[in-house]
Amino acid sequence: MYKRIISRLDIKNGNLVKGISLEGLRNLGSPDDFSKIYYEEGIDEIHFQDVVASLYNRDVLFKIVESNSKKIFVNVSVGGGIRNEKEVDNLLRIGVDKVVINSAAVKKPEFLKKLVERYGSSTIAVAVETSKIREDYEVLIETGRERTGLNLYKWVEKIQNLGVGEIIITDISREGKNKGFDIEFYKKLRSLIKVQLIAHGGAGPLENLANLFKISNVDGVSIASLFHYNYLKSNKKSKPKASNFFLQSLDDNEKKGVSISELKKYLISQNIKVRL
Amino acid sequence: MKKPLIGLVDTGTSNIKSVNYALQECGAEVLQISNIDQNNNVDGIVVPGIGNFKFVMDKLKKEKLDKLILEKTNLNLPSLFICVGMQILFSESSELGVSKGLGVFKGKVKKIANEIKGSKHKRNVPFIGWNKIIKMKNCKIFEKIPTNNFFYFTHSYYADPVDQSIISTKVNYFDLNYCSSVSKNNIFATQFHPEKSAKNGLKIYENFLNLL
Repeated sequence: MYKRIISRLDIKNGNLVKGISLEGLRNLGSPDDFSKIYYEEGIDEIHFQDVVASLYNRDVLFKIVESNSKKIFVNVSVGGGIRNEKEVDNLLRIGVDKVVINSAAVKKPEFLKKLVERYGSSTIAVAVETSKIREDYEVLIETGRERTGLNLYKWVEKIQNLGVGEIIITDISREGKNKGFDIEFYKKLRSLIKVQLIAHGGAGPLENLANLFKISNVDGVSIASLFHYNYLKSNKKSKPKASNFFLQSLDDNEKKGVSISELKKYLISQNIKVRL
Repeated sequence: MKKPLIGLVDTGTSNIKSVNYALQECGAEVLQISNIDQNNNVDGIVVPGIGNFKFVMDKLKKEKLDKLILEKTNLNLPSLFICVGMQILFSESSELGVSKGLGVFKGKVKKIANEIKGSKHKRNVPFIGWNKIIKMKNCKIFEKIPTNNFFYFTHSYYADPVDQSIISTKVNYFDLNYCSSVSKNNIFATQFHPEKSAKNGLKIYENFLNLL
């Protein structure tokens, strides 16, 4: 089947930000500039993640999502701090198509069940952030800051049983580093996950991305900095707002980034089906 | 020229605003209809997708919007039904127990099976993503959209019409060849989401608005 290439936009106080292992967030500029280009380049879906989810930040996020939805005619997902049904309703009423639940799912799993019954399983995704602690993968919440003691594999089984239609798994230790995904790790997850599986955290070398589809057989990949680097590189002059950290790192060969169409053409050359 | 006025039916669980924006982008004026009292003289109606079949039917009945929909389709007013909006046109669905639909078309709404006959592989359900539609007949809303073009799907259930002649397009998901859109008279319905299908999808709305 056709694999999905998803652009992940981390939002803080109205700005597009990016960190490493979900920490050390840097400001990259206005999310609107990025999302517009990504849409035009043929992104399959866009995922806005509210990385702070404070009350003040909420209104700002809503405004961004609303203005984006007016011009972006692909699926728009939103995650970060969604804790009740009212909020899901509000999001769908400003142009969101899919909601992503994380911490609230761990704290009250019955909340997930309710959402699925009402909105259908394909509208409700769960984001799972995980890290290897000693020998086992454990589920973390609150943007990777809080341990839960939950075993990752048991947790994915549980949320599937609650009817969730899509599971996004973030490998925290690799997030933001562009070194590639752990192919065996996602292969194991694939053998356990019968709903949609999305990999996030570490998109980098193109061969690794091809293997993520060929060997791990995930349904989609969520990509942040790889696209952002490419965007900033090709728009260096027009975007002076981006932080020095990011602009400096553009000279680093490992972080040269890739455009959406380049990535899709490469995947097709590797016999992986994507929409072009 | 006066913009066509679309009555966009609020099913309570839909991505109503996404559909609203797409219609506006294509030149329509949109009136969101949440109850029968808002039964204005619209030029066409759209029923958006997303949500559980039973929840949607219950909500429509509660607000008497089922009557409004049937009134408009009986008047042969152009109407467009999306995703679960398409499914409710059929006799019944097996989502969360058996529920009755509007019965405009005969047929059942079935779950996509995980098992693939004669294969050890399985389908992941729900299906979320892009797939190529296969045209089965000429349909006004697919004008200037060649067969084998990409549209965006997100669903676990699909409609299986008794009358095969209403099928406008099909789609294939690991050997499950199912109906992805239907049309009859001025009733048009798509399992995929045109508002999430980039340029191809906007063309569907444009074609639909051209009928008004």
